[in-house]
Amino acid sequence: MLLLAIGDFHIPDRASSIPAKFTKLLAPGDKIQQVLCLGNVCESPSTLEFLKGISPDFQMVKGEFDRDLSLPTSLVFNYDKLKIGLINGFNVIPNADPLSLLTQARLMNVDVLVSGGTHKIEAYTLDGKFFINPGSATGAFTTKAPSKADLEALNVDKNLAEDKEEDNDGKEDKDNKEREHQKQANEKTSEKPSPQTFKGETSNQVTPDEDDLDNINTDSLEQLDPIPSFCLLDIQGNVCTLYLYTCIDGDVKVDKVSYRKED
Amino acid sequence: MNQALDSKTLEDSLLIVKQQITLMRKCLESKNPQFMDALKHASTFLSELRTNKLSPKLYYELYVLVFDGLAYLSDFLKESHQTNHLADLYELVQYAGNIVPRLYLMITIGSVYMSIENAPKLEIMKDMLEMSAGVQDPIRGLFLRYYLSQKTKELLPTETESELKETIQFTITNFIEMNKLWVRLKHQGHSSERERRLKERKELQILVGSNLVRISQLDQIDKFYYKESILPKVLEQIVQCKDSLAQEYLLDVIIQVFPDEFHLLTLDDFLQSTLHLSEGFSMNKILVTLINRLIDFQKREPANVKVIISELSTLTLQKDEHEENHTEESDSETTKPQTSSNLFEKFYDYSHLLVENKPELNFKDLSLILEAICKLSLSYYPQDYENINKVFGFALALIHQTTQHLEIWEPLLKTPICYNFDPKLVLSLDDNYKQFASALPTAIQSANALYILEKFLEQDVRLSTVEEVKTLYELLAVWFTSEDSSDSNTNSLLFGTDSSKNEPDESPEVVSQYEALAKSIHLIHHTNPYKHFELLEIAKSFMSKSGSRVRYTYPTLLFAVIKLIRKLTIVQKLNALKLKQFCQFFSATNTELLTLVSNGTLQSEGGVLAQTCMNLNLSMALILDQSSHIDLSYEFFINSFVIYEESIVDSRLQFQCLLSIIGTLHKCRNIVNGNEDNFDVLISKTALYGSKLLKKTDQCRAVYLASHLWWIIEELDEEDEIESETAKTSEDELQVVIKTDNKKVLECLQKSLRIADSCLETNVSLELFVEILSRSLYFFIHGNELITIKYLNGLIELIQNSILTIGEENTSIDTPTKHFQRTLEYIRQQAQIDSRFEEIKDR
Repeated sequence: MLLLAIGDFHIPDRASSIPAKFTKLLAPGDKIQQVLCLGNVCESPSTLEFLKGISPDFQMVKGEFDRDLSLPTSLVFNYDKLKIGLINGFNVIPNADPLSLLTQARLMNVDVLVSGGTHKIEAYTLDGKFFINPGSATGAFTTKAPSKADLEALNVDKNLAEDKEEDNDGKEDKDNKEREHQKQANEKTSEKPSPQTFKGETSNQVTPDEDDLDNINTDSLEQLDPIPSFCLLDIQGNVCTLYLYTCIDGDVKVDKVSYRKED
Repeated sequence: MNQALDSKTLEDSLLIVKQQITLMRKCLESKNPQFMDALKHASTFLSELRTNKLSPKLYYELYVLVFDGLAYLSDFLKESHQTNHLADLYELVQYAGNIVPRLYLMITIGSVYMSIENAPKLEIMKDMLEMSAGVQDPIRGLFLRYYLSQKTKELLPTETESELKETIQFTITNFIEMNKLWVRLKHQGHSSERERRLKERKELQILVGSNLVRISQLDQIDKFYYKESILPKVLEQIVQCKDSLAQEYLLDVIIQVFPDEFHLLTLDDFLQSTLHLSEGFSMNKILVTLINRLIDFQKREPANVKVIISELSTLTLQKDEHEENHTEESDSETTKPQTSSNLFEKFYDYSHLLVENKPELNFKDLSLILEAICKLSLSYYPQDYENINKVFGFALALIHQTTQHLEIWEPLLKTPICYNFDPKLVLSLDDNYKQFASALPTAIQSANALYILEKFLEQDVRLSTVEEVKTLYELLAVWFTSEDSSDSNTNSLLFGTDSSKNEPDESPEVVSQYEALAKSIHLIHHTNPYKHFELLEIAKSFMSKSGSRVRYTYPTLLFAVIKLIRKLTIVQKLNALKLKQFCQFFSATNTELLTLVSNGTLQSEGGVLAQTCMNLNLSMALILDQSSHIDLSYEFFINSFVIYEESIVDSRLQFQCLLSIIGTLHKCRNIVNGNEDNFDVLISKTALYGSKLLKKTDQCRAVYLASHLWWIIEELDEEDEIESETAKTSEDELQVVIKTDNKKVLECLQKSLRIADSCLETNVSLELFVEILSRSLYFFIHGNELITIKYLNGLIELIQNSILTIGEENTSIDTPTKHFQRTLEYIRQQAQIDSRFEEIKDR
């Protein structure tokens, strides 16, 4: 039994289309028996039509940006020896928190929980249950702060970042993460990371002069956009083989993970 | 004549021919060939070709059999020409009684004679050609001449220039004569049989065309020879025959059989002659075929095309000079304007001549011709937009003369976008195009707009200047004006709103148009976010004209703004003043959307739109928090709350919205640290909203989920762990504590427990109890000191007692009981890895 898990399209709000390579892969046929859509299709009848064309068995839960109130917020399906749950993710608090997802899976009494919201494809096993996030099919923009690793890969303007390095009072405060954009250029990994506190720092916001604003190039930031992705689940007995599809620079990559439910 | 009779006649004739061929072969194959007898038999079967009872198709069958029979004769003659002197035989057959058999025999012998060395080829050719004039019946004559052409095709001499000339003369003369016979066929028979004649003539056309094919197969002719000596004669005959079937067919044959370079060089002659064709001739077919060939030629061999065009201009110049001044040849070449060699100009001028000279030409044909000219220009002069402007200027003038069948102009309208590889071309066209478009029916304009937009989206054409953005949306203008929202508004004022009837149920066309329109916002792009923002403002000025349909486009616009703020935050170029502009733009746009909800235009759809508005606000608040603009972030949270309070009415939506609020607040970092008081206001308010929800279950869940707002701990990603190895953390896991308030968390849990307890249905409260137990375990694992073993045991006891009270066998509590057991099982599992769990009682 082959299932498609796909979601967080945000068409047209944040993205215009699913990558052409994906639509080719997901051309109508009889291979995929059921489509599990995690919602946030938004206002795109054409996308819905495309999804419904993949398999006549189309299932969808409501995301916070879907405008169809009749959609359910969670669904459970029984296959052979596996129970699979479907939920968008905005309704799991804290969003995408593994322990919360585990609680949710226990509540729904499922072995496999498919959820979205983060636009980051991942799959892991926790306490005997399998958690799948197929990411965003379009690689739609997310309001989640970019991770530090991403920002470092950017390698942007060093000078501005260096100003921010002074405040190194050894407080060893833990929350350096949210200010990562202020020191993203610190790419010398040998250098000591410089955690900073937030408190009282708001006055230090970078407020460049207006004349400075004419020469900004943000093209390199496009690489921060999430990677388009979806998942295929192959269910055989108590085993779920998961294929993770990603589209990086127009090339489709497939990874494989397996989960076996312990009896 | 009916068909049965026809085929009977044919069968009879075929039988006779077969018999006579057999007899002829016997005579020829005997040891002592009876040649004269063989000729007699041949003459007999050839007499069958004298019939006038067969239709061309059946006559052709007969002809094929006869042809085979004569082939034996030819072969025999070839082998035995030593004994049978061919010149004598050629004279001899002249005495055959009937003209048809006589001429066939003559051609058979003549063609064998031609194949012999040192034969007087040219004389034989001439003689045969002249003699063929003896048959003037159209069908018989056509086949006889076809026979002549078939038998001589391999033998025509081409070694010397004069031979070649004769050969071409021979073929062209035969062509002209055949064409005359063919045209004459039109006038035969009763006028009531005209349809049938036309059909028969069509069956015969290939015989006439074969002569042109023959000429095209002569390797010795080059394009100049063709221009000088062949085309003029052929065209002259085509024009003179004044028969539209012949003209249409033969011009098509010319286009098909001769090479592209010939056409390119002779374009003027060709076009000129078409102006003199008879009425009823469908001009567009020929022209479109010709233009398509020229376009293919350009695609296939652009270098060759260039050479020919330059030759063409030299040729024209020389010609001009000859006319003006017979002495100087190459002196003034550079000063002469080169326009004469511009293909587009040729066709464009021609299209004007066409309109002047042929008033009967209909608009449908003209539109097809202009479409082809447009394609030609795009292919040969892809950068010359002025050409396209001219075409549309002309089309505009034409379209003003008529108001009927305007749909015929649709293909022309789409040509610039459909045919060009760069969709941006359409943005460079002048007003002619827009005026032409707007002169067409709305449905066509609308379809064209969608077509343009889809092309842009397909190729991800970025719009990065004010001009581009404006022009694109001007081309889509038809969408922004067609909605009559004012009507329905006045109605609703008068009659109130009737939700069942007045729902703005959009047609699928409109929905897909607006989906595409929203997507177009993603095409707008500028590397500088501030410039990008200006472009978005322009886009909005167009979108805002679409009444309630802004609900399809504004959310995209707003996300575009959010994305810009994110970008500026990362490059640290976020200017406070500019940010304020962004925020104002965002709020104003969002408010317009909300107005649609509050004024009731959207009825039931409105609630969900309000949810979108609120979520947009929350996204903005979160992005502003990330950019450390905590005061603005706070504003947007407050706005979200206002939307929640004022516009979210449906209880399901209220719950969903509250979850979004909790989820977003939980992701905030800077506002917690920067202004904790503000943050506390927000989260207390949120918890309060939770307790005020309509349904007890929603209340309970919202409140226990809100507890997370006092417990914000961030676990670092693996990647980040490596980064902060030196950072000391008390736990094994690397955590960042943003906010922990043990007491508030406990209070939330206690409150939710009270709500659960107050539920009337015991199975529902039981389920909620289990959920609260799960939530408490979460905080226990995370080390909330007030969520103690004692507290957990208390909860477990409460649940167990409830189950006992209701009775374990009661099926209504099946689901919560199982959920409880799964939770206990989880506790047992955890006890194996975490000793703290050991003290939790599970019975």
